[in-house]
Amino acid sequence: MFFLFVAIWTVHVKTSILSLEGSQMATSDSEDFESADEDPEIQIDHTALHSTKEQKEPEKSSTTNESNDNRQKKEPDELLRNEIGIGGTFQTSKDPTNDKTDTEASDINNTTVKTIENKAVKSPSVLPSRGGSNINGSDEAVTKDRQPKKCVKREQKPREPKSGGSARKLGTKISQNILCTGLESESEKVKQDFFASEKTCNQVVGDTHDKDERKTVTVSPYKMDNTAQEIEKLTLEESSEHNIAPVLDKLSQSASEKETDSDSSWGGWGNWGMTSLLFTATESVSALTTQVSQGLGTVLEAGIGAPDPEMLAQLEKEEELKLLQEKKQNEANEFSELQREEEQKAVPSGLFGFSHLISGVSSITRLVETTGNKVLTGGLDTLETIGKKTMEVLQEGDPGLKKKRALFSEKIVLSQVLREAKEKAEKEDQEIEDSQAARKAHFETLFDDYQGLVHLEALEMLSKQCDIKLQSILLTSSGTALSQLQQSLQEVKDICQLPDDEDTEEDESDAVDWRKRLDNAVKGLGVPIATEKLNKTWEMAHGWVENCCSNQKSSNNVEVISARDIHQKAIATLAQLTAESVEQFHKAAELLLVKDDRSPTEEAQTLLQVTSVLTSEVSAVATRFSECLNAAAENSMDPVAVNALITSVFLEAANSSSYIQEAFQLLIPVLEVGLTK
Amino acid sequence: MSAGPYNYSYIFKYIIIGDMGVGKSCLLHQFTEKKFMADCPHTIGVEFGTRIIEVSGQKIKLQIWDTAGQERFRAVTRSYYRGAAGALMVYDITRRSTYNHLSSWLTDTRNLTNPSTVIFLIGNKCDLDAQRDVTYEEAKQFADENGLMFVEASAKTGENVEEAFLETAKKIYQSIQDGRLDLNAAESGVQHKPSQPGRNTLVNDQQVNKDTCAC
Repeated sequence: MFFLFVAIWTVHVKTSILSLEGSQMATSDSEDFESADEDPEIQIDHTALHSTKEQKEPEKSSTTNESNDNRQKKEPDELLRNEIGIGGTFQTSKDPTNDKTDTEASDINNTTVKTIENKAVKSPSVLPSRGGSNINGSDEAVTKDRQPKKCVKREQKPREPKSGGSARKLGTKISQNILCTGLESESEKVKQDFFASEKTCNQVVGDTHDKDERKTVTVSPYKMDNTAQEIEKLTLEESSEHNIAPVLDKLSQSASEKETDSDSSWGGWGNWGMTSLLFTATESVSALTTQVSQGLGTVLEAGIGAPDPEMLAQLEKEEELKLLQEKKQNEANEFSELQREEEQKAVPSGLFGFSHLISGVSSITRLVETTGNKVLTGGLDTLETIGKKTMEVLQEGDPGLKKKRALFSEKIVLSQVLREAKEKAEKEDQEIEDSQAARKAHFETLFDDYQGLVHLEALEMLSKQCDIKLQSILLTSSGTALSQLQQSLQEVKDICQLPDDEDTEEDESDAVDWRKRLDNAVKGLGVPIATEKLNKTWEMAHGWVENCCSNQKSSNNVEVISARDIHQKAIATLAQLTAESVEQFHKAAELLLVKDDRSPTEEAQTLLQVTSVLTSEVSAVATRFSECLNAAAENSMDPVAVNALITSVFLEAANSSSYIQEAFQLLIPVLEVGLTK
Repeated sequence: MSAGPYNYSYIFKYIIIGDMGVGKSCLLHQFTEKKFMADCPHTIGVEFGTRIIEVSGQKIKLQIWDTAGQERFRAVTRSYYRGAAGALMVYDITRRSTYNHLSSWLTDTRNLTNPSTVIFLIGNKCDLDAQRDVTYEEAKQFADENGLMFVEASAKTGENVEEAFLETAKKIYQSIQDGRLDLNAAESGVQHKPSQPGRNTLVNDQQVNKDTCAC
């Protein structure tokens, strides 16, 4: 849509050159811009209240409209507008052509107003957001962007035939400007105008920002949905714009061709053709740039949510200013063009080529400057919009960015967070390690691992079996046989009674002594008891303890084994010894049961001896380990904990002894059964 | 030494029975150690082996009682049948006598174990096919007639050894799932969740302490 406007405006420029000779003093350029400079809110009101009136009297002169507008102006951009406005009024009264143009302009206005009104009837809530963007050409571009394609078509039709008139109008303005301000001051005026409007714009932008930020916080998901839909629409429309673009290009081209034909009379065909070609290129580039930046701006703006009047107004103003700037720049271009042409007129045809070269260069320079300026402005706008949008997204569900600020403030202690996480992980690892260590030092578990438990279970089964057998024999026997058997049984039981304390045998025993005693004790059993396992374990334990103690005595602290390790080893050794003892008792029971020649009394005495040796040995092992632990406690940082470990070793040693004694007790029925054979 | 995972959910008691020299201990050794023991000494009474396996995502500790095959220990080994969840009945495919004694072993097993005990027939030494004395078909027929699971295995090569132990475990586990095996029954041969090691285990399961106190 914007393209269309630019194209039309291109025609204006061309025509202006034509009308230079005729020196039409009328202008309507100011009117094209004034409404855009208006405060959007007032504009809405104005449109809403007076649209009907305007429809009824479309022939009403622009002067009235202007005075109306002037009355309602509140924004501080009055400087610019008044200047233009006065100029406009002055000239309008003079020129009948201008009147016509104004009428045309108001026609356009009315068309837009109608469209908007129609829309407003359908959806009143949309009115404020769209009312602000309805007045002139560039506004239409925005308006149409937000309206369905239907609208676009409708407005295109009346516009196209008018382009000639509008062109004339614009052209007259330029020529008037040139005459009024003089050739030298023209560029300065352009600058002044631009700065004045920029000031206004900045103020508006500032205001809008404040309001915007407040509003964005409350953007609801529903709105966001709507926005998404709008964006889709816009994208569609944009694509349609692109379709229109080539047509517009053609239009402008044909217009320039026309101009070229008429120009040839005074400028020289080839010369003008070149410049017009350059112009067409300039316009195409500028139109494209503006369109792109505008399109992007519109999309992003629309994406923010419900487009509020202020924002729209701001957008419009920006666009207006851009246009204004463009126009002024192009005017300047044209001026140079005119200058050139004048020069060309004066200069003989022989020198023509040289001057053309110079002018061509200067126009290219200007083109570059203009385009660069536009790109910069457009880029800044886009950046601003992106920035706004980013803030909005950031603030979504987090008013005042409190949460996010809090998050970022924690960044300072990130290292601490990491350290804590590490400590936590280490603690967990430690716990797992502890549980594993506890398992390693758990007597029963280790006892089971060494098959002590299952041997005990098997022994128990045998014991029960024997007991059942014994009971059945006792039931079946009678008389003297029974009394004799009962006496023998009691005898065995008495032998198997373990003395309460066997301190007498608590001699200091070394590995060799212990082995001798065990082997001697086993001999009397009459069955092959494998004492190798027990002896091996015993030797291993003693060797370990000696190594440990010698390490502790040496000053080399690196080699010192920790109390925990000593404890673990002690428990493991005890469990192993116990398991192997139980296993040997179990084996003894099995072998005794298959033994042909039983002598239960002897067996009982031997087994009692074995039990005594085993239990004393278990306590000896425990003592050796606790000595080792005591030495460790002296070096330890935590003697209390080490003392607890020592206690634990003695406790498990007692536990171990009780297992051995239990196993021995389970053997009694096995021995007794021997009596019945 | 002690090693491996201990967080098993069940303990299954297996008993390996069969004539002397059929390779019971070798089968156990192959299963627990994955090695073949060339000259295996005669087993005295009973020896034990354990291995933790996984069935249907459940870790199960197999407590295997490898009994002595010698006839003189027969009385002793009979004491150990009780409470076996699985019974691996082994014969030697190169020695017909070991196969012929199966009915005797089966009678013992049936009498001394509970009805839900899974009995698995293993024809060992299948690597010695040239010296085969018992055909697969006839053994298979015997197994089918008696409702036994059957496989020919080799403790030497390890062929079908794992399968025999694992299939038995699966069958037992299925029995538990089906509710045919009462875990609370003392003779089920299955202990549930012994993963909390402690003195309680010993006291509850074996009542050793109680018996001793009574003495």
